Amino acid sequence: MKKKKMLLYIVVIGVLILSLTGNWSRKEPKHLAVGTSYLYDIDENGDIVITVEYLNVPAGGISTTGNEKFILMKHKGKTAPKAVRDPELVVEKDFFGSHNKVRFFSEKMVKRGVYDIFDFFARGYITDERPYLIVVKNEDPGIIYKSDKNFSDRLGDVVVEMAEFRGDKTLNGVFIRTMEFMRDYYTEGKQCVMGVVEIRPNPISLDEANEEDKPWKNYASFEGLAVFKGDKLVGYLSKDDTLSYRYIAQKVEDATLEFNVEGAILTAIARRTNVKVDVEMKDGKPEFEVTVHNKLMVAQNNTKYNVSDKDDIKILEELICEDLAKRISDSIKTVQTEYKSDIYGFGQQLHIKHPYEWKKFRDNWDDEHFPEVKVNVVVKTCIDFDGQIMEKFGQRNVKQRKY
Amino acid sequence: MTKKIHLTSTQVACMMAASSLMFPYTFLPVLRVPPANQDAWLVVILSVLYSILFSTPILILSNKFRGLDVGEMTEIIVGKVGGRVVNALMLCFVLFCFTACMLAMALYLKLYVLAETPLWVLVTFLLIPLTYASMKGAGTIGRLAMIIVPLISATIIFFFVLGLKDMKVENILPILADSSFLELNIGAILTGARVSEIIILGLFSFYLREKDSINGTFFKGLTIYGAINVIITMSTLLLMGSGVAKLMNNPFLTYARQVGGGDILQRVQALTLFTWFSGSIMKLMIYNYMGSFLLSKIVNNKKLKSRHFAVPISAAAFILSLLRPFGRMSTLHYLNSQFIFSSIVFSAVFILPLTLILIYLFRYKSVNKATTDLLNAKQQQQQPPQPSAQPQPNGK
Repeated sequence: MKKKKMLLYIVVIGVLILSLTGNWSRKEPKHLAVGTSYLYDIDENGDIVITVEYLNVPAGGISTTGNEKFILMKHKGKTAPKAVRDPELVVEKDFFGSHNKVRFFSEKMVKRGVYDIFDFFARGYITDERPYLIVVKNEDPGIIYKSDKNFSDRLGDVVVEMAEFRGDKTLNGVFIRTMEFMRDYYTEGKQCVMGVVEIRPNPISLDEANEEDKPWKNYASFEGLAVFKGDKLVGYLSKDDTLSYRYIAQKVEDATLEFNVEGAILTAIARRTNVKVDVEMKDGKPEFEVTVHNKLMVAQNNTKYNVSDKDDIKILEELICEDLAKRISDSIKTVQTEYKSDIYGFGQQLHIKHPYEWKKFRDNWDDEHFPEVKVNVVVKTCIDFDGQIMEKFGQRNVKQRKY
Repeated sequence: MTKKIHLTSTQVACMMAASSLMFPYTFLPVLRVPPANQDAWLVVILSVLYSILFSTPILILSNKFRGLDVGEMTEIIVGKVGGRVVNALMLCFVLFCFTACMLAMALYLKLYVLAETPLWVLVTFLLIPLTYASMKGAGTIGRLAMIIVPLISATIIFFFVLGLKDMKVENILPILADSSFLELNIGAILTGARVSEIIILGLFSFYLREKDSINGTFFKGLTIYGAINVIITMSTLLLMGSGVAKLMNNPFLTYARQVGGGDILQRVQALTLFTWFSGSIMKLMIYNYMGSFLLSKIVNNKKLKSRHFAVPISAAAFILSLLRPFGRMSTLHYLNSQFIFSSIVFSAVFILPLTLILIYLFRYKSVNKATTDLLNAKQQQQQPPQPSAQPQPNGK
C-alpha cells in the first residue's frame, strides 16, 4: 500500500513538473532570449530580415534598470532559421522561440510568397503553429514596434489579448493562427487570409505632459484583412468588407453592428449569429445562398422607430436585413472581382455538397469560376432585446404606449 | 517449482491496447495510407475488421493449444528443430519491432522535446525502466498496463474535449465522396496489417486465468484500441484537416499543441508527452519481455529463465541504436513505411501462424495426442503430492 502511494506521488509530481513549466529547456530562463513576437521582412537582396521582440530578462538575473519590458533586435540571413539564430553574433543568450505569440510579415515578404518560411514554421522544433499571423501594411514595417502597447508590456501581448478577448466580438478584423492558415491552404476550395495591422499617428497630443507621461506617437490598428491567393498576398479588405468574411468563415459573438435605417443609425449587438451556406447546381453552374441568422440587442436607437414596439420591430428587422444583406453581398462581389480568391470557402462548400460536380471546377476554381458564381445573401434578423429602456430616450410627449 | 503467474483478461487486453495504440499516438499512419484524405477515420474503423481477420490464425492456435506456451506449442506442431526455427523467426520479428519502436520513440523525443540531448542518453533512459520491468515478469507488465492504458485513454479523451471548440466538421466532409471502395480497403488492409498485438495475446495467453476467455480478451483489447484510435484520428482531422495532419511526423502531438484555453490550460501538451512516454516504455517492455521469453525457449537451458535475456536484448538494441544509419529519421521512415512494416507484420502475424495451422491439420492426430499428454503431465505436476499410505499395523 505504501509503495502504491509512493508511486502515485511520484506520478503526480512528475506530471506537475512537466505540465506546470512553460520552459522545457534545460537552460535557466535568464540565459534564454525569449522572443514574444517576430517581424519577417526581406531586404533588397532578398535576404530575410527578422526583427525580434525579446523579453527583457537581464543575463545576470538582476532586475532591469530600464522601464522597457522588451528588447528589439534585428537579425539577417539567407533563410529564416539562419536569421533567427543571429548570424552576426549580437545576442549573448540562447534562443527560445516557443513563447512566440505573433508573426508579423512585411507586405514585401508576403507578396513574394510564404511557402519557404512556412516550411520553417512547420518543420522547426523551435517553432510551432500557435502564433497569430499579421501583415504590416506600412511601408516601413519596423514601425510596429514604435507603436503604443496600450495596456500591455509587449506588442506580442497586445495581439494575443486582442485576439482572445476581442476576436469574436469584432466584425472589422481577423486574428488567424498559423495552424488555421496552414489548414486553409491545404483545404480544397478555400484560400487563406491573415490579419492586418496598420500603424497610424496618434491623434492624442498632450503637449503639457511630462516627457515620460507623453503618449506614444503611433498606435496600432488591427482592422481589415489580408487576402491571399495560394501563398501570396493579393490585397486587403477594408474594415467594412471584412464583415462578410467574419460572418461566413468565422464565429461571431457579441459583435457591434451599425445599420443604416432610412438615413438614421441603429446600433445593435449581434448576440448570436448562425450562418448557413447552401449550394444548388443550376444549368451546370453552382449558385450559392448565404443565410445569416442574427439575434440582436439594440444598443442605441437613432431611428424614428420604437424598438420596443412589435410593429416597428417588424419594419426595422426588414430594413436591417436589407442593409446587412447588401453590405455582405457588396463585399463578396469585391473579393470576387478584385481578388479572384475564394477566401469564404464557397468552393469547399461545393466540394462538400456536390463532390462529383466539384471535380469539374476544382482546377480553375479561383480564376474562372469563383468570380462568376452567383451568391445570394439572405439575412434573417430578430431583435430580441430592446435594452434597459422601453422607449426612445428624450421623447417626452410620446403618446401612451399601445400595451 | 516456481508458481505460475496469472494475468486477468483486462490486464492482457490493456497490454495489447497499450502496445497497439502507440503507433496512432505517435505517427497516425492511417493518414498516409490510401485514400489519405478526410475519410481516414473510416479506414480506422474498417481496419479493425481486417485486424480481426489477420489475427484469426493466432487466435485459433491460442485457443487450440491453451495451457501451453509458445515454445511447447511450436515444438508439438513442427517438432523440436522446426519449433526452434519458428520461435527464431518470431524472435526476429519481435526484435525488429523492439528496435524499430525504440528508435522511433528516441528520435521523436529528440525531435519534439529534447533536441539537444544525445540519442544514446535518450535510449538509455528508455531502456533502463523497460528492462527492469521486463525482468520483473509478466505480472508486473500486466499491472503496469492497467495503470498506463487508462492514463493514455483519459489523456486522449481530455484533449479531444479540450479541442472541441476549435474543431470544424467541414474538415471531415465530404464523407466517402473522394475515396473509392478499393482505396478504403487498401488503406484498411495496410492499417490492419500493422496491428501485430495479437502476438502479445498469443504469448501471454499462457498466463491468462483459466476462467478468462482468449477471444473475449482479444476483443476487449481491440475495442479499446479501435475506440481510442478513432478519437485520435477524429481529433486530428477535425482540427487540422487531413492535408496538414498528414504532413506532420507526430500529428496528435501537433494537435495537442493547438488546444488549450484561458490562462490555466496553456501548453498542456506536456500531459500528452507524459502519457506518450509511459506508453512507449510499456510497448517496449512488452516486446523486450516477448523477446526474452522466445530466446529462453530457443536456448532451452533450464538454468536460464526469460528474465536473464532482458538485459542482453536491451544491450543489443542500445548498440544498434549507436550505429549511424539507425540515428536517422530517414531510416525510421523507411522501416515504418507502409509496405515494409505492414509486410513484416503480416508475415509474422498471419502467414507464419497460418502455416502452423496447415501443418497441424496434416498432423492433427499426433499433435492432438501430444498436446493431451503434455497437458496431463502438466496437470499432474501441478497437483499437490499425495500423502504417503499409512503403515499397516503389525507390518502387514
